[in-house]
Amino acid sequence: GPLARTIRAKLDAALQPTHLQVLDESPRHGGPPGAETHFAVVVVSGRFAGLSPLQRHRLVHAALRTELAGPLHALAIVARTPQQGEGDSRVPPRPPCLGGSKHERRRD
Amino acid sequence: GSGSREAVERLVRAHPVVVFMKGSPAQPLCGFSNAVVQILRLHGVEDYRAHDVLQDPDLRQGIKNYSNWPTIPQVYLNGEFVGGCDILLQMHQNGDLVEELKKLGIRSALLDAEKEKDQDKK
Repeated sequence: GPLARTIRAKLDAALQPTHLQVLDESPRHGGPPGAETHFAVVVVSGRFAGLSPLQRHRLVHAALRTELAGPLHALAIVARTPQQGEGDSRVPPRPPCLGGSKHERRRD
Repeated sequence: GSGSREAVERLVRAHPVVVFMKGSPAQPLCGFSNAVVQILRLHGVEDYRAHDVLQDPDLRQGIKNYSNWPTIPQVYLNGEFVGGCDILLQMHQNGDLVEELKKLGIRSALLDAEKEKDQDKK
């Protein structure tokens, strides 16, 4: 979908990844197919070298700042360097959705 | 308001382990928040402060501004932001969480589980 393409383009530009997977996980969180609210990304990039997991995640967030302030509700991140290898870049098993979005009190 | 920097600062410093989540530890309302609760439970950490951001939109925005982190759940150890569910899971898997808890004077239950395993081998 369009958000997936935006995410891919922004991460490509910001991190020049050697490997990038963008997965729309919204259906697992109660959304209809193509909802594009919850994503998982697997990013393999030399830019992560020497950075802690927190710092790596912040780089990813920075690239997607606009989206995270908008339609993107949740973002699971696997951030590795090429040295760490693409072999184990599977996204960890996703916790089951517990319907949290339905309980939100929105201030509109 | 409840989302001001001062208010959030008071909350994160109130206890060695503070979690901002959706729902409560007894009833998490989000899979990622539940994962944080389960990981803490595995380590025997049952005494911590949990704040349900679904009950307080000001706090929900305030905690994101404070940590400059866009999502919930958020875990704070000794007043310091540690990360979300993915990072806590990594720390759990690579042993860092046991170490960080030790620094707070909290002995992870997993250490006792390992001791039992070693004793069984004798």
